Parts: sequence; structure tokens; C-alpha cells
Amino acid sequence: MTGINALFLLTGLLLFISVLASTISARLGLPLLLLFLGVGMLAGEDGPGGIVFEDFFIASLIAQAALSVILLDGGLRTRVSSFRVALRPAAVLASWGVIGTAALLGVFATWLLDVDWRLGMLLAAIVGSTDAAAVFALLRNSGVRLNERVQATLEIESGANDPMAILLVTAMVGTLLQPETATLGSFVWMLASQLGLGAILGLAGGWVLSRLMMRLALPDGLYALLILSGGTLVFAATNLLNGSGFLAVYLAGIVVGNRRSHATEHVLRVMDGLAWLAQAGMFVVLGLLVTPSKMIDHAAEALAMAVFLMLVARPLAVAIGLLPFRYPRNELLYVSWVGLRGAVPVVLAIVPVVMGVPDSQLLFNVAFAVVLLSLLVQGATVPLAARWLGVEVPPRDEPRDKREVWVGEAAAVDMLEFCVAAGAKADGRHPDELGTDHPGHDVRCVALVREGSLHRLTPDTRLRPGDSVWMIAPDEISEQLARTFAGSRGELTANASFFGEFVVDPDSRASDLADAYGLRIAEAERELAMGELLAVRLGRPPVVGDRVDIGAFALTVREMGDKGRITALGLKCPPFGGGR
Amino acid sequence: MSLISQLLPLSNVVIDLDASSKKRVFEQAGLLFENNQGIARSTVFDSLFTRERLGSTGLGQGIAIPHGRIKGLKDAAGAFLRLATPVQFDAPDGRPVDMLFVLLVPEQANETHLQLLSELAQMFSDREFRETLHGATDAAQIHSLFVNWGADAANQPDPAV
Repeated sequence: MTGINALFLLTGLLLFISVLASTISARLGLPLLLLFLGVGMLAGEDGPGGIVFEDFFIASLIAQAALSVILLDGGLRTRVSSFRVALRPAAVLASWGVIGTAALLGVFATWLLDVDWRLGMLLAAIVGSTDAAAVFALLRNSGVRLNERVQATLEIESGANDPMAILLVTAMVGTLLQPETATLGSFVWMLASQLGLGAILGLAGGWVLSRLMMRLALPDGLYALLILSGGTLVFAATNLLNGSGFLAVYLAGIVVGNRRSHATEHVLRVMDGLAWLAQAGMFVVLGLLVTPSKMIDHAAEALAMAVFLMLVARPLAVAIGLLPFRYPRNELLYVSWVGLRGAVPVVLAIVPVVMGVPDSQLLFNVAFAVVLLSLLVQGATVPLAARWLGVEVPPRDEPRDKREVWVGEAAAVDMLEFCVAAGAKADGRHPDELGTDHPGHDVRCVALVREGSLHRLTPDTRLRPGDSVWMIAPDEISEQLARTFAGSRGELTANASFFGEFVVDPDSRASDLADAYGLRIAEAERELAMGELLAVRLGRPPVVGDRVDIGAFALTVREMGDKGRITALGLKCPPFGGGR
Repeated sequence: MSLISQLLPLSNVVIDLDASSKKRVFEQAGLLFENNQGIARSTVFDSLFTRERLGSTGLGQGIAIPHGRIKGLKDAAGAFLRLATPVQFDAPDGRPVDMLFVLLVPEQANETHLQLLSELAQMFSDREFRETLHGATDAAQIHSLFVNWGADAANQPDPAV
């Protein structure tokens, strides 16, 4: 019994420390994942913890289970609307991007380590894919609002590029151990079955799960377990049939998350906690597994690999892959830079160790060091690089909290919480009066908290700075509503320095702009609506923050509606006083 | 002295203007330019409305800078109007407008003319400047505010614009 309780004590302690440590990660500007890894390494054989953990099989088991949970959660939170701008580019990165990166890096590794080319390629394939856990966590918690195209590209890529890396690793292990059976045909067949089965079983499983979630009447807490167990089933079954379980579970998550029902919120809340547990558990275990002193033996090689990967292999593969999609240069650079490596390479590096590939310990240690460097250098600079490369867009005004309240099984109302800021437009008005700014939408105040206690609403109630209100209002107008509650910050138009002084109607004619300012534009463009003109000049699906110069003016997309429609443009006049 | 003050004669500063709508404000502006600068009022009116088709020239916080190009105009001309009661202007923040700077530029407007717009926007984004304009008791005081604005502010452009 002591043995079991010692294990519990240890597990509890490691998780507990990791959670506490998370509060300092924001202050240090370090990615949380790195901290979890650090806790594991400190607890391990070279650290004060001194725990000797060498079981690659158990580590691989825990890491794969954790990854499936993280991918499921990531899928649940991926909006299908983001596919509009990024599905095809991300698909190219998830296939060609991995091959291109691995091929370039493989040649470099073969030369650098002076090993058999197949071993070099294997090493490159191991670190070939970006990591969903790292990308989701770092992009969503970085504190900057990224341009939607960049964020969606990186997220979908990371969710979908593991099958390709797994395939490459399996293929290289095959050529090393059984060269006679490894033929090109067998690889193509394997790729087809990995992707095909992964996609089919993932979508089908997701469909069944979302139907079940809508139909079944379960206690609230069980919905998340339904999805979790269902996701695990999809993952395992797909793997057993030689499909890609990672791809399947990600797709299943997307299907479930985009068919909203009364249970969706419960599932999201519980899954959030489980995804954190999975990340902390996985990275602590991987930190325990590695032996830092052995990693240092190969530090120089790992550094060279990481530098080549970050500065040459990935940028080249990204630039070539995204060529048809007309990404602006700064976005290409950012997508290249945020090619975060994480748990997947470490899990993949375990495969050759378990399979008994010669020199596999070397692979494991180098791969691990590359992951560490990627998290340390690229992970820590996610917000900084966004600022430097200008892929950041001004933060959206948002409700402080949001709830979806289901009325029966079929309909839902959104409840939004706002806080009245000093100088806000809502100040001095009756909360229900705010609805008159949004004709055609039902806006009602359900609760007002003033000075810490619930305040009775009467016809004479006037909002004051510091008040908190819960409003019933459709989610579409949450941003506009939030703006009425936000302080004015003395600016005339919100974020005028980014979007420009004037707001332009996207339905107005391009000829109106040309005539108002005496600009010359092509005859064919004169008849276009301003929104169309912008879309044509961009040559790619527009996102908030996209900018086009017309004469000395700059037109910027201010707001996007659903279905990829531009709903507001900003117009920036030539700055006075000689340049920006 | 700011660029703006060079195109704003004292006679083009009007306070407590009575106008019940955007349209009436533009008519009054036309009248003002016709009397003071000899530009036909219908020309002014049409030119201002042409620009509004693109989207409101309201900036927010009760400020608007309607503008337009005028055929045959040699130098840019401006007028500042403070309204007795605010009018609806479809400004992005939804607030009615009560202070307007009307800017007319020659038909062959060059970049300098267009930079006037961003200079105006920068002026008005200064909250203190807006409040002083609001509190001013006569046209001469407002005029001198525009004349003196460049003196201290030009060296430290407001980052909020």
C-alpha cells in the first residue's frame, strides 16, 4: 500500500507544483509548457527530485493519450468559419510543409551528424510537424489578438499535420529495419489509409457523438465524459484500422464543437480542465523521461539543427507552400517563425527507441533538445514577433463573460456581462434603452450589480461607471454592445491609428471614393462596391486588418460579418508632417 | 501656426448655429462659403454630400469633418461650425454631432490638401482641445485656439490618432 500511496503523493505533488508554477509563467514570459517540462526535469534523475524514470513505453502511452485529449479539445474550439480563410493553405502546410521541412532538414542532419542518410531523414521527420498542444496554448494565451488568417493557418496546420510526420517516421523506420519490404507503393498506400480513414472515421464519429449529445438526457457533468470517451474510441479504433487517430480525433472535435446544443457549454468547460491536465501530465512525464546530462552531450548538434529548422527549412517550405495563396510577406514570416515543436516529436522519437533502431538514443536526445529550443526561442517570442511583424490587430471589445442559456432543446439565448467604464456611452442611460441602438435585435437587461449588491431595476435606473450588468442579447452584436460599455480613451474613432480616421461603408461604390478624392482607378474597378474592390485587390479571402493602398490612402478591413462579408472599412488619410 | 489656421478666416467660425439635420448643416455651410468666399452654395452642398455617400465623415465624440473637392477653387478653405443642438450624423460611435470642420479643397487636390484631413483628425483627438472648443464663448476665442494649436502640439503628436 505504501508503494501506491507514494505514487499518488508523487503524482499529486508534481501536478500541484506545475499548477502553482503556472502563475509565474506569465510573469516570466515563458510558455507554460516549458514550465511543465522544467518541473519534470527537476524531478528527474539529474535534478533534486532524483527520480529515475526510463520507461519509454509508459511515457509514450501517457503522451499519446494526452495528445488525443488536447487535439479533441482543440477541435471543439476550432470554428468552422476559420476554414474560410485558412483551410487550403493549412492543408498544404500539413502535407507538403512537413515533407519539405523534413527533406531539407534531413539533408542537413545527414551532413551534420555524419550518419546514414536514412537516419538523418528519420531525425528530420521526427521534428517535422508543428505541435497542436503548443500552438493552441501559445496562440490563445499570448495576450495579443492575431490576424485571423495567421492564427487559423497555424492552428489548423498543427491539428492536421501529425499524420504526415507519423507516416514519414514509420516509413524511415521501415527502410532502416526492413529495407526489403519498404517500397514506394506501400508508403503511398499507407498515406492514403492514414489520411482517408482518419478523415472518414473522425467525421463519422463526430457526427454520431454530436447527435448523441443532442438526444441524450444526461446529468450535466456526464456530457463531457461522453465526448471524451467517444473521442478516445474514435482515436483508438482509427489507429487499430491503420488510420490516423490524431487526425480523426481532431476532426471529431471540430464536428461536435460546431453543432451547438444545450450541452456544448458543459462539455467545453470540463474539456478545458482536462486539456490542461493532459498538457501538464504529458510534459511533466516527458521531462522526467529525458536525461538532461545526455542531452548536453549533443547540445551543439541540436543547436545547429534547431537553427537550421527555424531559419532555413521551415521558412523555405512555408514560402513555397503558401505561394499560391498570396500571403503578405510579414504573415509568411510569422507563420514560418511560429512553427512550434512540442510533444509530438518527443513521442515520435520514442518510436525508434522502442523499435530498437540503432543510435536511436541519439535521435531521442537531439529531437528533445530541438523541441526545447523551439519552445524556448519561438514559444517565448510569440507575442513579440506578432508585434514586430505587424500581424497583430487591435483587441476587440468583448463582454466580460458570456453564457449560452438553452430554452428547451432547440433554442438558446446569449447572456453577456458588461462593466460600465468611465466615459462610456452607456453611462447615464437606462440599461434597456441600449437596445434602441440595435433595432431588430432583442436586448434586455436581466441583472444590475452596483457596489457589490444586486440593484433593483426601475424605470428611473441609470447606469453609472462601475456597474456590472448581465444582458440578454444576441452574440452577433456583442462587440458593438461592448463598445458602448467601454471607456472612450479620448480617441475619436476606436483604434484610428490602425484602421484610419474615417469609417467607410463597404457597399458604397469605388467610383464614390475616386470622385470624392480625385483618385484614378481602373475603369473596370469603378463599378465595384468598396468591399469588392478590396477583395479583388487582395486576391485572397479578407480578414480584419487586411490593408490595401489606393493612391495616398490606405483602406483597412475594420469588421467582418458572417460568411466572409466585409461589414466596415477604415480609411486612412495621408499622414501630415512628412510620413508615418 | 498650424496649416489649418491659414485657411480658416475669423468670419468662417460660427457658433450656436441653428440647424435641425445634417442636410440643414450642409446648406448653412454652403451659404457661409457663398457669402464669404464666393463659392456657389449648391456646389458646396453637392460636393459635401458626394463624400458622405462613401460613409459618414463623423469621427466620433460629436466631431465631424465633412469635406469635398470644388472645381475652380484655388486654395483650400475651411469653416468651423458649432451647433446649438447636436444633429444625427451616422458617426461610427452613434453619437450626434455638434462640432464640424468643413474643408473644401481644389479639384486637383494634392497630397498636402489631403494631409489637412489627418491634421484635423489629430487636432480633434485631443480631448482638452475639444473641451476648450466646447466651452469657448465667442468666435474670436475659437479662432485663436485654431491659430495657436500648432504652437505646442506640433512637436509632440498625439499617439492616439
